[in-house]
Amino acid sequence: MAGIFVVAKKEFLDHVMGKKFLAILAILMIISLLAMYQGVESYNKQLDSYKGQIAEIEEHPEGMPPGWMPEKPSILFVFQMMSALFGILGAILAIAIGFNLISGEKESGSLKSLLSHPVFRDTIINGKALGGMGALGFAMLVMTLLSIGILMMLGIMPTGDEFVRILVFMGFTLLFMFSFFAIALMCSTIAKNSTRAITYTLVIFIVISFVMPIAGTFVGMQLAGDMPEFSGVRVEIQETNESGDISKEEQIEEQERIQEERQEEMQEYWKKVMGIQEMFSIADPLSNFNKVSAAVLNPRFQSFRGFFGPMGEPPAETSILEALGIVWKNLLVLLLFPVVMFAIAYIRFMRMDIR
Amino acid sequence: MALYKRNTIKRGKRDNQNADEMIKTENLTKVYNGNKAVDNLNLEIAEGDIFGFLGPNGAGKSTTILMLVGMIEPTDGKCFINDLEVARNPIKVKEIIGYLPENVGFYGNMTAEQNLDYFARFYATMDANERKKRIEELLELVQLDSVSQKVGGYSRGMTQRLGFAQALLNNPEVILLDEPTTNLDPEGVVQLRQTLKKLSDEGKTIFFSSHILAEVAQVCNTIGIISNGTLIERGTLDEIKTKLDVRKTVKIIVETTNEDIPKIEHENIVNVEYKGRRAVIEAKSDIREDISRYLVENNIGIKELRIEEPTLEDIFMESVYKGKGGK
Repeated sequence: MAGIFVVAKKEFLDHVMGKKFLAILAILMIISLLAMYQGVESYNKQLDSYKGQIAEIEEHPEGMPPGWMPEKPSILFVFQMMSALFGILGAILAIAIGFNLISGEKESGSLKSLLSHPVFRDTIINGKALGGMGALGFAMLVMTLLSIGILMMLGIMPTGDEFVRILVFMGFTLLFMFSFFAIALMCSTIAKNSTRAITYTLVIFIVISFVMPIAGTFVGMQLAGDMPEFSGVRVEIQETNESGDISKEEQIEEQERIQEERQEEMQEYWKKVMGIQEMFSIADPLSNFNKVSAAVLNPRFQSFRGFFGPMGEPPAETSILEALGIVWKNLLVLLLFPVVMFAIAYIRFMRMDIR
Repeated sequence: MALYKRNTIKRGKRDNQNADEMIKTENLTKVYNGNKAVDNLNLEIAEGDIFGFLGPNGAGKSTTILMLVGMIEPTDGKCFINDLEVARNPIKVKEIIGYLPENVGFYGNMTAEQNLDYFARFYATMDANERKKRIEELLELVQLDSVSQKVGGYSRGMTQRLGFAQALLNNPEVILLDEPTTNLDPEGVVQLRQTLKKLSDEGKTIFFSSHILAEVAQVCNTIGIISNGTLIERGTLDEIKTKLDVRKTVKIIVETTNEDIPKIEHENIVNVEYKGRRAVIEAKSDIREDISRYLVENNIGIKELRIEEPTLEDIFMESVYKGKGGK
């Protein structure tokens, strides 16, 4: 057990003191700062608008629709804007530190030197995984402290719920980064050299994150059948119809019924498409991360509402646990994905001939 | 010197093993993609022996060593170090062996001391003080004690010397060296030979793999010749010479003192090359006595009359590259 920490400590220090890690972390920080700056600017505009609306209500309560209240913007909006960026850059950082962990040592010959001493192979791969995850955790800690620090410097104090949601979001971002770290580690174990390892990793990244979801949408649209016609144009309502036996009210009712049916057909159609598309992107950490992030960062998160869903009341606020309950499948995949990838890397490394 | 202090290792006994055997392979075989890199190899190397494992590139030397150190799994057969089966006791075996891989590598972002300290941390018996002392001794031995730069900036020769130091890190009972003189300068080669002899005097068993016969002949007391994954011969240098010398003729060198050699005729002579007072005679048997008598009868003084022994190199080239080794 002590050996794992010997390996993990060395790997962690190699990563966090390495130029590659520091360069990508610096880029991540700069881009995040810019995104935060934009996000905070938008947040402040929304806050000003909210304050204006509140003032308006207080001055002229009679001019507002009954029961209507403007919604106070959440600072989580800033993180919603950052989440996609975090995802991509986090994946790049994870790939960068993972792709040559084993292949690099094979190439340099240090793996043979290391393995000639009394250390189990699982100690090495576990230590490497632990060290890499520690380095990613360190990067995420820096980013979290930086983000919260900037908010506080700008005089924005997150509420307790927002604070929890930010931390949970950062935690899931880390989990997402582990997924790509595990892919890179697996490729590093399988590939003969680091060039092949990075190639395999990028191919997997592109296929599961971009090709599969696009293919899923295409296949979904093919399998879901013809898209139902949706007509937003109402037929002119006559006082009575040609035969004179249907009243105007009945015509309106009939038309609304047809509209509703079509809406339901359309919603059903898109549910089918999205269902098939989800099947294609089930193994995509990016899609799952985006869904989990949306659930965590949006207090009014609802799962599929359909593009043509009824535009009635805004969805009710959900607690973070409720939101995570909605996306539990995505969460499960996000948790299982790195485990499966690491298991492949582990088995391969344990059995490989070191030549 | 503390470097060569003997380890005290308790040895278990197996019924089928001689107590003096430190390295043993039983029908060791490794197959890659249907090709036998090592084919049914049976070796026994005694404690304290310096064993030269000789063979051309691709003969199966490195594959054998890699199986002995547990880096690759044999397709068939077993190998033992100090009675311990390598596949079943990899950690115990690694505690008593030192291994210098061919083209040894290190962590380029660390100094020599840091590299050795990292490896030394895997030995439960070495505390921080012992590690420090041992590393200092080894770096002094390989003359890297005054080098402070990171290993990434080392020349190949320096890396090789550091490789030798890491192979001795745990004061091993058995030292396996794969092409150890690669990248070393002549001075480094001489120092390596001297160190190996010292280690052998201390009772260490040394497995020295090389494709260069002269190197093996310099330091090893027994050798094994491998070709195409098969052990062709093994024994002392003289035994190997005798066993592998498949030539049917002997070469006799004759040199006279004051005049050219007259034409020599003998039923056993196959060929003669005359060069003034010197002749090289190829004969079916040792006919020196007849030649001597003939020259004395003709009043010709003899300066030299000897059989030219084939060098081990000649025999090696003959047997491995052209003869017995070719499959």
